[in-house]
This record gives sequence, structure tokens and C-alpha cells, in this order.
Amino acid sequence: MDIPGHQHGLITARNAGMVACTSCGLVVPPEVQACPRCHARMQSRDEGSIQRVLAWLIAGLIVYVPANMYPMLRTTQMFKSQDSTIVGGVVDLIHHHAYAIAAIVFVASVVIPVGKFIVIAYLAVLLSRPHDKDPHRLHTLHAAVEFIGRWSMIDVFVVAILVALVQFDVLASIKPGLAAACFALSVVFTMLSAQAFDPRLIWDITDEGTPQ
Amino acid sequence: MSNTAPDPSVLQDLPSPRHDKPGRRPSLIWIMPLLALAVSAGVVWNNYASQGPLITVTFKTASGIRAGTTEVRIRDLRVGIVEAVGFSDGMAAVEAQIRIDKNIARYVDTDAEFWLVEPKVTARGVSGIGTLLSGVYIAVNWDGKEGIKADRFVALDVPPLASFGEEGTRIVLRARAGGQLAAGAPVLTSGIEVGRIGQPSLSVSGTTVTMEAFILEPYNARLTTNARFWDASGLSFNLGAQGIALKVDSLAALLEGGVTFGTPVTGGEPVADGHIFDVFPSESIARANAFEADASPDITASTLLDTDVNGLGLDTIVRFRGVKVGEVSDVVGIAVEEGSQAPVKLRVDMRLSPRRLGLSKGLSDDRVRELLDARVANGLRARVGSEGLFGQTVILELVNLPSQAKAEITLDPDGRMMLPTAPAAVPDADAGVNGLVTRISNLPIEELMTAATLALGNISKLTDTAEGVLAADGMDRIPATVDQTLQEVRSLVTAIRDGGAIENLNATLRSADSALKSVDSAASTLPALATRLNAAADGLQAVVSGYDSDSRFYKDIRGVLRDISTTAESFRSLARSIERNPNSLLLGR
Repeated sequence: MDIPGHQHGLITARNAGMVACTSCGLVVPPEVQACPRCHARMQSRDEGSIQRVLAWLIAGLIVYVPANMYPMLRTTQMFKSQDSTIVGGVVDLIHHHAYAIAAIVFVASVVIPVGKFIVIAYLAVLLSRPHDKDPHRLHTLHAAVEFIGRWSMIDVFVVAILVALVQFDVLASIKPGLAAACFALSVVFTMLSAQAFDPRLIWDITDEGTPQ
Repeated sequence: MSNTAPDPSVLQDLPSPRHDKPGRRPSLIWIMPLLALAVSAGVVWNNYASQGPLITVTFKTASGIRAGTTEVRIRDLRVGIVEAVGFSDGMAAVEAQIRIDKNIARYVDTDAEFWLVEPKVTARGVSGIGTLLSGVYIAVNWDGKEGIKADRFVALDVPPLASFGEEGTRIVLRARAGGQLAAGAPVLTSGIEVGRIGQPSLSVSGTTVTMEAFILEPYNARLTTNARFWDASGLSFNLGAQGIALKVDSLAALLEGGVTFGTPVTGGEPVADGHIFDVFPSESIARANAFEADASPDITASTLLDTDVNGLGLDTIVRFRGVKVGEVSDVVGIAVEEGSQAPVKLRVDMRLSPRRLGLSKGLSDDRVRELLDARVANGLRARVGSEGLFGQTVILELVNLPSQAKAEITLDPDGRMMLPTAPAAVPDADAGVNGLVTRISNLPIEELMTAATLALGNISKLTDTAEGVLAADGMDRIPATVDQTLQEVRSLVTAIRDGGAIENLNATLRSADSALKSVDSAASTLPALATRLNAAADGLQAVVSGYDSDSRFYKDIRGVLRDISTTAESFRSLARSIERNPNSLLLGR
């Protein structure tokens, strides 16, 4: 068994002149248009993948800006209303010594989305040209991004639940701010971005500089 | 799974993979970021464009103003919010940056007035109670017209008198310093609240207090140049020749003060904004002033007095049948040639109001003289008189004395009308003291005390509800002590009668021989009487000093005390002058 990350001995369906189904993993000859097993469309590599990744990524980045500028929540307590942005909310939580919750909110709303932007951009840029990175690591990175991306939705869910629950007229009420919608869009866009990624590209080691 | 390297020969047999060129053709997916950009830009632009202007309002203190929370309201409707609070240059004041809603931003002009609304508890009620929970808010007042734009304002310390849309007349009230008027106190007429008083400010000289007042429509129609304002602060206690009058107004007026206006004289011109009215201490003074002002003093007359009179001077009142008709404008001593002698006489000049004398306005001097001459022929004379509870105030009286020898108005070399005089009507000591005794005996003390106790009982009831506002036990003590003091005065007067002073004086008048002896004993009793009067005054003072020194009741009582002290002083000076010159008893001087 080869050491993971070592290029020798890796053979992709493409190297073998075959096409793998992305849905069920069946490997068929390249002439086949649809997967005989699951009827998915067969395509050796999705050429538009990187483009779609970048497009969704940029869309996600754009809506992430108002998501941080505008208030996420408008809390009204006994005639007093307070707008809080994402970062402002984290700062408030720290002032109230709720460090654990502050950390969760910060990770879910800032670290994860920003990390996702960086990782997806890195993968997209890296894979659009020849590289000599270890495909195993890149694969892990992609898997992680795909897995963790949805957790950013925590913030949106919290807002949705709070808005639904805390409606006591004068005493206290919470309304979603503009940022909530923007943030949700941002999360959706980055998830689509991660999904648009064709992971098979990771394994296409271009010939130059890599031993076959 | 095994990753063993495949046999190269196998690989060679395989069809060669298709190497797709990376797509250079732009995908439709790029619409998404463009759409996102458009939506975001739209949101940002919308948010920015819907923002009104940012204005700066300077406050003395930031009491309760909080960034992002404190609202700006017109008629309790939110029109803006404080975005930031900071210090002005040099930390002299607090500046609030306020974002005004776009739809009303065009009205933010130089006329706008800002002030802070805080919860306030006054005698007339509680206002701004909502702010207890919601925090303070900033109220704005501006007219509905677009004017010169401004973005820097200085907040008012107190709410403005009239809010935008309230019609009425703004006037200026001028009162004596030391009154009880507070900002927001009511202006009443016929017991109805028709306006408000603004913040009083002391004049530079410190003698008067001026304040703005706002009279609402339609009551401002009653404001004419003949309107008179007087202080309506709660409790008035009046000890005068007619007896004692105790008057209690509403509790609010008692605590907060207020002014009432009325138009005792009909006619008069309507007033414009900024007209200055004086606030008189009491209704009677205000009414008297209205009648007097109505009668413009434009007749000047003089009279010659043989003797000098203490207390006669500038502004001494001239009365005709008890009605004030004018005042003394000058008193000069002149030498009058009478044969070989040239005794010094007093020439008293007076200003008389023709209307009060029953003469129509605008008559020529000759005509006035003619008419007055006719009256003089019927016995009109000028003489020195006195008034007041103890007859202590000197006045000049115009009286009809038909029994007098015939006289007529003469003109002195300067063309002054000289009215003939009659002997002074200053009561002698006997009549004076007897009169005093009668007057004090006639005071309806029991009735008055019952009324006072009743009134004060009511006040106590009121104070019970407004707990802690007035010291009820202090009020309780007062009627008893006033009663006690008056008993004291009465017994004192009885003592004057019983103590032989009057008999002595009568005896003095009857018998010149025994005069000196009697006068001695009278003189020795008088200082003791004065001391007793003083003691009575001290007793009353001790009670009163326990009472709130700002209250009107206190002031009135102080007035009574001063009167008593003055009386005591009169007794003392009478005693002194008797000691110095026993003849004065006989001669009445």
C-alpha cells in the first residue's frame, strides 16, 4: 500500500480512459452518456466547475459584506430597542462574560465563513492550473469545507428561532435585521460554491512536473 | 483496496483520455454574483438614501441620553434617533448627533427647538411618566414651514412655552423679586387655567423678576392694555383696617404659585406679543392700580401746610372721600410773608387724576380751576389725615367741610393752584388709643379663628394626601398661637385702658397741675407696654420661624409681626416724646 499523498500508483478513471459516475461511483467507458446504473449524466470532468465555484464564491463574498454591516437582530426591551450586528453581538456577549457562547457565535459566523472563502478560493485557484500539491490533503480540505459549511447556518437558525419565540409585545420582542437574510444567502452561496466543485479535479495531476 | 501500480502495458491499451480544455466560455452562472452585487448595492443604497440628515444638538448634560436608544419625538411620534453622544470642544457641553427621519428633514430649520423630556412630578401632576421606563427622549418643536436649513442647535433648558400649532399671545410678566412663581405655573382667569409661565429670570438690578407667559386662544382676547395680573399664590393672610382676611386658593397654586389676570376696567387696546405686564402682589392692589392707571394724573395742585407732618413725603396718597385720587409729587418748605413775620410753611404739590375727581379728561387748566373753585366754595379743603389699623399712615385728604370759613383757590407766583387747607385730622393720643381699642375689640376674632381653623383643617387634609409636602403639625399649632397672640394684644389694650394711661391722659388734658405727675406714670407704663407688645411679637415669631420660610403664610405673618413691632415702637416713641416734652400731650404735637 502506498503512503497517502504519494503520487505513484494513483490511477484515476480518467487516467484509465474511463468515466466515473459522480452519483454512484460506477466506472464506465467514456462513450457512455448516462450511467447505466443510476442514469446520472456522465462527464469525465466538469469543465465549468471552477467557473461555477468562483461565481458562487464571489456572490457569497458580496452578500457577506452587508451581512456584517447591518444589524442581525433588533431587540426591543421595554421601549428600548437595540440593533446588534454579528461582531457587535459577539462583543456584547464577551462583555456579559458569556465567553463560550461568544466563541460559538464567532466561530459559526466569522471563522467558518471566512475560512470557507479562503479554502474554496485556494482550491479553485490551485486546481485551475498545474500544481504539485498532495491531492490527499486537498481532498481532505474539500471534504472539510463541504461538511462544515452548513454549520454556519447556526446563526440563521438562532435568529429564526428567537424571532419566532420572543414576541411579547411591549416587554420584549426580537426582529430579524437585514443582515440575517444576507448572511443566510452568503451561507447558501458558499455551500453551492463548495458543491459546484468537482472533487475529481483534485486527482487530475497534470503531466508537467509529476511523474506518471 | 490495493493501489499497486498497474502494468504499463495495460495502460497503453487503454483509450487515451480526453483532455478537455478548461472552459474559456463564460458560464451563465456569473449572473449570480452580478445579481448578488446588484442586490447588495441596492440594499446599501436604499439604506443610505433613506437616511435623513445628521444634526448636532448641544445639551448642558447628557442626563439619560444614550446613543442608539434615545429618540427624538414630535408630539410623541418618533422622528429621529441619537446616533452618538460626545463632548463638545473643551468638554463644556454634551453634543448629541441625531439622525432625523428623511420625510421630515426638510422642516429642520433655524426655528427648531430641542429639549429633553424627563419624568417630572409637580403639584399639578406627573408628566413624562412614560420616560420612567423608556428613558428620556428629546422633544422637538418647530413650525411646519421650511426655513433656513441648520444642522447645529442648542437645546433649551426648559420646555418652550408654546408648542408648534398652539395659538395664543406671548407676553412678558414683571414681578417683584421674591415672589413664588415657578416655570410652568398656571396663568388663571376666573379660576380657569388659560396659560403658562416660562422660566423666571432676575433683572440685572435684582429688584424685579421677568418671565415670559403664554396665553392660549381664545382667552388671549381678554388681554388688553387694561388687564392686570396679580399673584395668585395660594394662601393670603391680610391684617388691615377692615379686619383680617385669610384666603386659601388651590393646593397647586399654594405650592407652585401662579398668576391671575382680570380686566377690572373695560376697554383698552388689544395687546401684541411681547407686551409687558406687571404682576401685583394681590388682587386688590391690581384692581386699585387698574382704576388709577385709568385715571391719568394730569392736574397738579398744591396746598400750604402750617405745620410739618412726620411721614408726609413723596408718593403720599391723596384721597378724596376715601378714594385715591392722586399722590404727593413734592414737599418743599417755603417762607411765607405774613406782615413782619416770615414763618416757614410746607408747600405740598400733588398730582391729581381728573377722572377720579369727577372731572372729564382734557379740560383746560382754567376750566379745571373754575370747577375746583366751585367745590372749594362748597367747602372742599385739603388736610393731613391718617389711615391704617393704628392710624400710623399719613395721607393727604381732600374733604368737604361746609362749616369752614369761606376760601378760594389762589395762584402762587409760579401759577400753581393753591388749595385752602383745613386743620389736620390726625387723631390725638386719646382718640387714637380709644380708636385702637375699639378697632381691636371689634375684630371678629372668634369667627376668624373658626374660619382659619376650618381652612387650615382643610389644608391639613390636603397635606395628608400630599404627604411630606407641608409639615402638618406646624400648621396645627398656628391658629392656637395666633389666637393666643391676639388675646395677648387684646389684654394689652385692656391694660392700656385699665392701666390708667387714658385716665392719665384725660386727666392731663383736664388738669394742667397734675399733668407732669400723671404723664410721668404714663410714660413709665408705656415702655412696659412696648416690651409686652414685643414679647407678643416674639412669641408669634417663634412659632412662625418653625414654618417654611418661603411660604406666603409665613410672609403674611411676618407682616403682622412687623406691624406689631411698629406699634410697639410707636408706643416707645410716644413715651420718649412725652418724657422729653410733656406739653405735646396738651398741644397734640
